[in-house]
Amino acid sequence: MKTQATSRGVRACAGTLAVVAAAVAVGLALQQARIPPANFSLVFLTAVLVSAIVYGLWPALFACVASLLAYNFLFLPPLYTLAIEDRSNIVTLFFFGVVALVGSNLAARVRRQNVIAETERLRSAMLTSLSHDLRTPLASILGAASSLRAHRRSLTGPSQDELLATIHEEAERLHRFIGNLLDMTRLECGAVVAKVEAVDLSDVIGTALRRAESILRTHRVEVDIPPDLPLVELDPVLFEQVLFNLLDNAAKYAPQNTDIWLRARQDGRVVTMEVADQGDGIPAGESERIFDRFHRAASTDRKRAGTGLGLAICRGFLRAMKSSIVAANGEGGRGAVFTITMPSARDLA
Amino acid sequence: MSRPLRIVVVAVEPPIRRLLRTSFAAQGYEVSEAEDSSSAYRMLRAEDPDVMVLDLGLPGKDGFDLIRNIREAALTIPIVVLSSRTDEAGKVRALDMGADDYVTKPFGTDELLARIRVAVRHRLHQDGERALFEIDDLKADLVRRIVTVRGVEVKFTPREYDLLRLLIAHAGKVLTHKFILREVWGGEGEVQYLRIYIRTLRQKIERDPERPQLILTEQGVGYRLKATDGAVRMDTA
Repeated sequence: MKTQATSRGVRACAGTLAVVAAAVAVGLALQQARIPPANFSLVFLTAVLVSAIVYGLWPALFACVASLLAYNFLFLPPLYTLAIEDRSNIVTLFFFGVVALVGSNLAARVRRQNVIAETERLRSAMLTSLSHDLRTPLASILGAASSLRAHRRSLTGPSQDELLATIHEEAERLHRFIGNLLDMTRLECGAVVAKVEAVDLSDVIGTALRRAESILRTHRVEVDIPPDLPLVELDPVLFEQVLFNLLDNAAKYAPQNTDIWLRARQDGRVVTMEVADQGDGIPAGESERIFDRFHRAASTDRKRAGTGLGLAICRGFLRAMKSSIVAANGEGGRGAVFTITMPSARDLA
Repeated sequence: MSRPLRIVVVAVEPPIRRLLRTSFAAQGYEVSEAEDSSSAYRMLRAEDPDVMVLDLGLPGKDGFDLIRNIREAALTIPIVVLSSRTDEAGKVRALDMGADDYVTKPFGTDELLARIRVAVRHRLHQDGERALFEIDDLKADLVRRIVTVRGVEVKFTPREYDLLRLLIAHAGKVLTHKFILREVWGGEGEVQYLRIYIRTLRQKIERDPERPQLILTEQGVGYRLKATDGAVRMDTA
């Protein structure tokens, strides 16, 4: 965390200097055009405000000082000294300082509020997701159980079966959601420790397919794995969960009776694996955002919306085992294709 | 003459005990319940039940201690443990300490009953290994060392055959990586060798090796060969 903060500070300093340098360049150009230097203060003021909006208050104050020095040194006579000849320029410089300070303060406050709003958005998305994804199945389970209890005698056999099936399916949905919440929490606490081993990819695919059997009844799954594919370096338990989440995702977003493809091939020292579906694909510009927590691809059909956790977990788990995942659309922009890249195990002697 | 299976349920949570009690009673089993390991141990000594279902979620490390105490006292009662989803290490530990099998919570009672029957059946047949084994398309004659799949004889290397034979001897039961490596490789091999042998075996005996139906993987734990299921009753001597 500390190194992250330091590198952010260095980046802010460098960025601020670049913005002030740009202001100097504009000033030099204006000087060539013989425009009186008193007007340049506005150029530097812009640089300070930009720094405040992009980097925050402290970089803005840094930009303010740098601008004052540069402005004085380069553009106010006597040139190339920090002395000031004209009294009116002292007044200009003073008010430049005041306006820059007040302005950067305001701009930094706006920036802070944006950060707070973003956190707030994530928190409310999480609460919406929690209350919706926990309550909906719970409501169905409680409702079905209480009907069975109260009206067992008047319910026909098929209605009883239907209520029992509701209890079963909704409890499984709840189970999956709670599993996702736990996985996400484990990731955020840094409690996910990958036990990476040389693993047969088709073996993990087999167990993921077996676990996802009930949610894949509405789709056809085609597996295309070369029989001589080398073993891959991964944690089989975490990877099974990654595949399960991707299959769950495909079953949710691709229409019924379409194909889901699982393909793998060796690519030099890595093995790539694709999970491809025949749904609408990923909306333009969202191929990275879909891996964010609680982000759900926009959908007019509320029923299809997932929990917004599955793909974030996929990425987190894969990172923990030094593999990666990206998303794109298939040929002709049709269907989503998730591509996982993982190291292949060294040959066994 | 035969009598119903006597089963002891060890779990802290009353809803879990209630679920198990009603499901087992529906099978005609006789059920006793214990909510901690010391009363479970006493019950074991006093009633001599046929099988134990143990919820590993007992407070502290109680569940593991109970398994150890039972095995140290040379009691052979089959033990099926209930464990949680993300606890592969706990499952392996319980199995290495002498538990016979496990189911992951939440579980279907069908699955639990199948595990119990397999564990009990193995305990009954432990003295004599069966010479003929048959499941789905697979037929094995362990005396003549002939294995056929859909009526066609399949050839194995000696090590592949040893591995298959071990799986058959424990059909229906989960076998940990460590156990298999010890039995087939004399404890010298690595899990990745085992994975390659399993892949080869699947390519020889499974209809679709990508969706195995016979040799099932228990991720992070080991392997299980599918077995036929059926009611178990205890003979009265």
